[in-house]
Amino acid sequence: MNKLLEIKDLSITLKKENWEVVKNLNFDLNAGSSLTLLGQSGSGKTLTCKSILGVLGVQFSPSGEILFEGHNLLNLPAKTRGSIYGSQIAMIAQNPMTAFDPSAKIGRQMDETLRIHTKLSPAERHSRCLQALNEAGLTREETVMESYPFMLSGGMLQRVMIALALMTDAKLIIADEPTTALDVENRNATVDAFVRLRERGTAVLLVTHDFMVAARFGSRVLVMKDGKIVEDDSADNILKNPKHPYTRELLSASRLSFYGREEV
Amino acid sequence: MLEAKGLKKLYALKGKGAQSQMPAVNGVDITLQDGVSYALVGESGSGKSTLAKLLTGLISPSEGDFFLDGKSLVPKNKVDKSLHSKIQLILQDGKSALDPHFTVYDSIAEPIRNLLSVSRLQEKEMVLELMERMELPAALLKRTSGELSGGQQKRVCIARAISVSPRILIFDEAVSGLDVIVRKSILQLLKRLQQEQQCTYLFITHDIDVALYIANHIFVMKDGRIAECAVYDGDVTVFMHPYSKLLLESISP
Repeated sequence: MNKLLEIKDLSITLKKENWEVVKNLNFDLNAGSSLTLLGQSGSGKTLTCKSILGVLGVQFSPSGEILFEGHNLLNLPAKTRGSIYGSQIAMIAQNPMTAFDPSAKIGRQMDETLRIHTKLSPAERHSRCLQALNEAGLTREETVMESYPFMLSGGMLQRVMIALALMTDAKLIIADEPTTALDVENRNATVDAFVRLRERGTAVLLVTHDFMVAARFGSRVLVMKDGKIVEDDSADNILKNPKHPYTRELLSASRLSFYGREEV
Repeated sequence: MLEAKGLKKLYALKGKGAQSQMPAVNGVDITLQDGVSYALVGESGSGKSTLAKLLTGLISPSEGDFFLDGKSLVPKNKVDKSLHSKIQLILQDGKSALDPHFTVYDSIAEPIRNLLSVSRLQEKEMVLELMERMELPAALLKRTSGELSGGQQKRVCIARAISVSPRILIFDEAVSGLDVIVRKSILQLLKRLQQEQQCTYLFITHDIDVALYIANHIFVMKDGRIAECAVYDGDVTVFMHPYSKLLLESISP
């Protein structure tokens, strides 16, 4: 099994306050496998994502190594950046409602991606788009292509983003809170689309605060709190037998009605 | 008791003539008994937020009426200020609901000053007491809303709403977008408050898990109408409508 992504002793410090927000993180992701970072606001999960994506921000200083197929992403020469980000590592944004150009139809926006990155003919691009939309779990693909972003629900837009990521043939897809802006039903459909991504061999790093999303996605889960990993186990095990008290607290807060309605 | 009969709210579709109207709320009958905790569950587009705005007098119905203790609440000519103190609304975006220039103290004192006649000293006592009930440290009183966390902002909004001792509290997606642990602590606070205040809750949410946690009576809304009303006491089999069952399926692990 080759290691696609290796996080080695990653620490991230907020310079102004000399505050270590991420503390000595270590984990690996193999090619074609997936991982969920589960934690609340302030756990450090988003900063970890940002450092992998190379968009950390000058107020933070990282230390340690983030190796992607041997390249240290924390120390990447400018010309290598272009060949990795956008083509080998793709990102799914949190808020699908604002991620698209509101004045252009979906089909045109998808086509643009292929026109820039590939040498396919217009007809080939069109069928590639339809195929990607279908793989992402959308039906009525032609209608989606003909729609403006405002005509589609958040869940549908999220799946269009997944379709776009599928079209890039990226090896690693990072999704930071992809379901937070969505209704429960759309949430499930979106998670299922990520499962399909995983099944076709793309490595997925899913970041969420929602236990049920982690459970449904069903991969290895790293529970993060205050910049550290407090539990590392399969989603199934964590659901049935959470060990760390924080994990248990998260679980009971994520499935409110399942634990009975305790008298306050 | 709050009773709504045949409430409709129609929005005209642009450029298609008077014939084309979209009903956001399409004939809703709802009764809220005093002191009971209700939830209204529906997806986006079900009409639930429009219904919240109708019940709090923010918009007028196209048809239908609603009554508080038999007296019609549909705003006719002049605005009835006493209504504002009887029914309060708490929204999802805590930050936008608070004036960014106001301190937490002023935010909480504002409804008291506008709707109640109390002295400055009484006002101060009320604000301090509310902070304590919201489990917020008094040190936060001099901060502005931008200097609070999402959960803290939410607590300030709740403090504002209950400061005037409303009979009915309507929450519109009030805990959506909060981290689950923060969400749980706010919901526990709301449950406790309801027992203390004996007010009526209408908790509007897209998340049936939250609805089942906070309420005893659940309305399920779809396409502008109430699909089902179930009395829930821990047993989900009370839900009969296929749409309700679909919503329930979406939260099972």
